[in-house]
Amino acid sequence: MRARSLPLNLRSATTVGFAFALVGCTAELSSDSGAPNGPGVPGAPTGSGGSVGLPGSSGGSGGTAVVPPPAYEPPTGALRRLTRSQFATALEDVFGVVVDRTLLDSDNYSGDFAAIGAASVVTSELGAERYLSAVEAAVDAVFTNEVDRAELLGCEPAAADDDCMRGFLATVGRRAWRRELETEEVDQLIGVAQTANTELGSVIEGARWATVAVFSSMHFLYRAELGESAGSAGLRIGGYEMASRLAFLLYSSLPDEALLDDAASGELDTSAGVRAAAERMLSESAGRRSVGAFAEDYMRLDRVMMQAKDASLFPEYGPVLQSAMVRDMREVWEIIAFDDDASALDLFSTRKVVANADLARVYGLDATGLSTDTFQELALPDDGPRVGILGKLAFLSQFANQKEGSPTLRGKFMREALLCSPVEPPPGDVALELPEPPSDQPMTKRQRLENHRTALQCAVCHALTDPMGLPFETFDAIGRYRTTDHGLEIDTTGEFEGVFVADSRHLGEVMSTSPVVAECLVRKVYSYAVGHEERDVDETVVDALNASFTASGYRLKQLLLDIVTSEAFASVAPAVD
Amino acid sequence: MKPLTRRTALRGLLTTGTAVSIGLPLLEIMLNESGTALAQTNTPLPPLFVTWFFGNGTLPGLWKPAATGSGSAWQLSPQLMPLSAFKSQLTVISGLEGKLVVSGLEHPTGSAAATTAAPIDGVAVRAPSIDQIVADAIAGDAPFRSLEVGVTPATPGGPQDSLHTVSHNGPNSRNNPEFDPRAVFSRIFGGLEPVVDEDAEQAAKMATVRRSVLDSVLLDGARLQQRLGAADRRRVESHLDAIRAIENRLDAPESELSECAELVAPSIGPDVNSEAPPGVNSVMAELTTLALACDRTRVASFMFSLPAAHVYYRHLASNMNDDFHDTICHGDPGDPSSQPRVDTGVLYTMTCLAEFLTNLQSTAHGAGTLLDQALVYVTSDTAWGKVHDRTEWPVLLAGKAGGRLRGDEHHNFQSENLSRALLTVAQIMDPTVTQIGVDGGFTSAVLPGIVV
Repeated sequence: MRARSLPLNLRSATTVGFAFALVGCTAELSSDSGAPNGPGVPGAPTGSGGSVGLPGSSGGSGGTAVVPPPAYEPPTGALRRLTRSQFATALEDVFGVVVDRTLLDSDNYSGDFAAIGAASVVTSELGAERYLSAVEAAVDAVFTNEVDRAELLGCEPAAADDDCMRGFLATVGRRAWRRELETEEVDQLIGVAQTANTELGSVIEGARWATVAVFSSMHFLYRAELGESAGSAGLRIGGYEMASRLAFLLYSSLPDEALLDDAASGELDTSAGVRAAAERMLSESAGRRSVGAFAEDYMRLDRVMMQAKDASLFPEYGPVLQSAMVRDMREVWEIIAFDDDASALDLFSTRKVVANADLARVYGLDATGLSTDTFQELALPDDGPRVGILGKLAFLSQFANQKEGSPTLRGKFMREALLCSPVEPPPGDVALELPEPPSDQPMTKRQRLENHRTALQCAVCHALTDPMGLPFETFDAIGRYRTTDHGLEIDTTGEFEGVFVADSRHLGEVMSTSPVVAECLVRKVYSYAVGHEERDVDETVVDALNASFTASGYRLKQLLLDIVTSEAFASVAPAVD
Repeated sequence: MKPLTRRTALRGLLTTGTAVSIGLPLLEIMLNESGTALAQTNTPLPPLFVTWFFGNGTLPGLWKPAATGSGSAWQLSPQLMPLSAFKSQLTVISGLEGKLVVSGLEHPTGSAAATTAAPIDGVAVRAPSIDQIVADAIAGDAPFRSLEVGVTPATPGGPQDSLHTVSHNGPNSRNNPEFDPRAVFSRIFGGLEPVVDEDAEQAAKMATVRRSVLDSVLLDGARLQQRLGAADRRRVESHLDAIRAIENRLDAPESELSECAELVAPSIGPDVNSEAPPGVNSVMAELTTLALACDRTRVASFMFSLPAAHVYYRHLASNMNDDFHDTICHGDPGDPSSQPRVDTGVLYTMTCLAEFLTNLQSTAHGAGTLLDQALVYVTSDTAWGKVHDRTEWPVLLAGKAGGRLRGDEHHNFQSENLSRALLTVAQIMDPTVTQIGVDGGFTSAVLPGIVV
């Protein structure tokens, strides 16, 4: 991570000299766990054991000497497994089924994104079984429906190896594998069709099982982005590899025929061609997923579906509400980016929600006309306490246990994910005493966490997290609004980057004007899009993206277009053996 | 506890919806006269291995027995009392230190220390876990190389792989536990139902068709590998190994144990409230026992709870409705001999372990029981959870490992590396293993006086 300026309260701690002895809890340190996983990348990340970023220390690009940033170096070409979201969306697009993502092999969250861990993850035996089951079920859904089947096949094969079958396999294969199939590959799939035809006495069964083979293949499940030689320009990603890369970023799914045709005709070998394709994709409804899928990965919406809450305290909590929370978060990101074409920072101040009846009730909105299955865009009241993505249940409930919200965990997510400023883990050998206060002497959570702010060894880190998390105490363990905690009025004040905030609404408004938040968002979208953690040698690329993002008024569509047309998106280095 | 007679061995074992009419899992005619080896091949009975893992540690002052020795020389400690019916089968190892534990990352590094003998690197472990090391040696021709199940999915949700499972094939290669008993049943026992002739013919055709699909997948994989660097080739190879195993299972599963084909699926679903309910433990214990008895696998990881599990044992007492990790282990005042709510949780955990050991003990196997043939490695991701003590790590071996363990022993190895327990376990299951671990977890010194 590159250097960050310190918050004011930490500078005062350093003049005492105490914090200097505690190497942890400064903004610059990467985790102490060494080099990241994934493809070998030239240009190792900074911060691994390096600069602590205290004022006056050397290291990072925050010093006073003017050192030109290193030139960009491409990362090693990677083999990425489709994320759960991409696998499911691809099957949903082709076969019209709904795929239960939670049954699929877990994503790897190296680099805090499934999109990055995809380059490292190894499939387990159970995972392999689950992919096969999901594919069989998806193919079955179409092949047992005459209309859908006819539409998929596009013709009626009379034999397992006739032109219709060959043409079908070549077409569906090209879409699934994101490239033209070799003759011997089509022959191989024809072999599967023939076996099925022989055993089961049906050419249609032949087509079915050959389709299963196509989508069970490593060529579907894994994305090889290895580049092709471009002479002195190194390895370039173009043609079909670029189509695949664009589609999984902007559609979270397979490329469509138009994009595959672009690839075949060489359109995607130039930045201008990529821009034209990307603009088209972002104007389509599937292009909204570019932002929705990013939000899902970034805000770890997968974790929302895995949580449990105390049923007696939160009877309204369950799979219906959990799914609604996830949809609300995803769709509001998409609305801000596409329908409103607004600044991304508006995400922190927006009143928009997408709610079904269950969610509307928790938000205190009129649920008339809504049911569990119908969702509508609604608006929270302007004078209400709840704003922005941090006012949504998918954030609030995620950083909470079964009974109470956690100001520290909420604040930690904000600092790490939204301000790009890692927080060291707590020292594990501290004997923490947080006894439940006696029922006749209740305390608010803020009061119970007082030690975190007064004991200096705790305050060093908690000063970075709690002031941002405490304003959200007005939202409970699932995100319902409340004004009291254990019967006592909640103190909603806090601080964001040195600015006093009266409550979480004020906090959202301050964040919606913060260039620090905008800059961090650029870095996060970039690393997600290129599928690797940010390195020293990415600095020039990120700086350019930042300038363009700012100039555009923080438009996410612009950021995505800039990323996909950048040199970084089209360059890889050779694999090591 | 003496093994029950053949007819009653497993009847009544399964009280949670899986009806059983099974007798001796290994028919006597297949064994040699002393019941120690398969008659036709004279190969010894396969040994069996289970990692039985629980999160959040113990109260070392109540876990560690006072005296060392064997037989009457030592007594069970308070937290081991739920295992009193199995004292003769227990080898308690105390005093070990988790030297790989890193401050701030105690739970992921502790989990990795106790199961892989290696540090972690970012989110990844750096070595395969003990169950996979053992599987290399003993998985043999069992249809499943290993089985991973869990009772409660409660987790802090952090990114490290070692928080989400204790079974790893290597870096970035998790074997995640299955938490839904119905899914475990259908995976392990599905397809074993006896089929009438017409169905058998159809089943054979489907197997042929699926085999041709998988062969196509294998060919694709090999072609892809040609373009890749070494590391990515290995990742694809792991996936192709899985495809091969799946394909092998397509061959008509003629279980010699027809009783294993008459099992009824459980109706209990997973723990959706993060409570580790007794019903889920019971059915998972039974399913694991059956998987071993029916030779579906010889290696299992039973994750009662995950590292740092945020489990709510609200069914144990009205004062237990709190986050066991954050609120109870870390927040409750006390010392390594006294945190009453922690004690309640640990005692419940040991009661759940006792149920599994009962199942193994109740299942005849060769001349003895499954428990006689098994090594159950019981451990956790920390010692005293409140301050993440890395000394007095809980390590318990249950079972006689086919005669390689005597049982009824407590050994103390004060301040020795926890990895030495893993090496000892590995060597019991595979005498050719002489070293284990990485960097600070590396050892080539087995713990003395344990292996027969």
